Amino acid sequence: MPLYETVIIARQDLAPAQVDELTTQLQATVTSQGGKTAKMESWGLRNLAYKINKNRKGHYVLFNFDAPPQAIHELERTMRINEDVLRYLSIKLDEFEEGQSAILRQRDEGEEGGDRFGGDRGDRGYRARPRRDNSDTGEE
Amino acid sequence: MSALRSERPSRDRDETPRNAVPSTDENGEQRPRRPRGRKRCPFTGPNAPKIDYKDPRTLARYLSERGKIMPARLSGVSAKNQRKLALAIKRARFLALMPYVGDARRTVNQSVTPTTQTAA
Repeated sequence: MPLYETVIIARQDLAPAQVDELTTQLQATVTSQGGKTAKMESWGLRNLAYKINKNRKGHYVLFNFDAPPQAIHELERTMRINEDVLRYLSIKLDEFEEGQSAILRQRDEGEEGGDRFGGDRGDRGYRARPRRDNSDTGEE
Repeated sequence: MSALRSERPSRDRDETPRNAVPSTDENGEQRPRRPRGRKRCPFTGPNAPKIDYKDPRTLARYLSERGKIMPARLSGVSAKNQRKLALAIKRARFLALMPYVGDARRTVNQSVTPTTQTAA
């Protein structure tokens, strides 16, 4: 059976419990079609980069399925009907990714990140005010 | 090609591409500055990052301030990886992990931070 990865975005005003309910429900549709869930990963409530159906945030959930194609079709069909699912993306993979996906790894690293464009830098303790003689600028 | 590449394997990767602009006029009065050795593809090599649509921070480096995908000519990404990169960026956009228009670096960092707030 082919391997699939599905990411869904659920509406922001669902309670976490409702999101869990939704995910088990979706997993059940896949299982009923003869698929297996290899991994389920919740990314929590994240800000969306742009508004989707007037939502600014969404609950992100990622699944890895080992399932026949019909199962994915059925899954997508139910998600299209379900209004709590803002968006989904299913992708066929050659192999599953080990461990956490990149998004969660970044979160654990925190703001340091080691990225060149990484988050904010920490506070810079006390610094004396630079003294400058305003001979050329007329400010003040 | 290989001669050019092997010239300087490890240059630190600065933001301004060296092979970008010939700094002189068109008429050949001064000869245009040739790039010295091509910038190496950042996704090739043993510990290169994977191109993954779930990793908006890495992807954000290859977007302009307006959110456009940077041409490979500027970023030095190989043609093969540029295709993968473009696909990954488009997927990330679809999932609202990064914007279609706007400064991706800001948005990406904003959306990652709220859960982990390390005590200052």
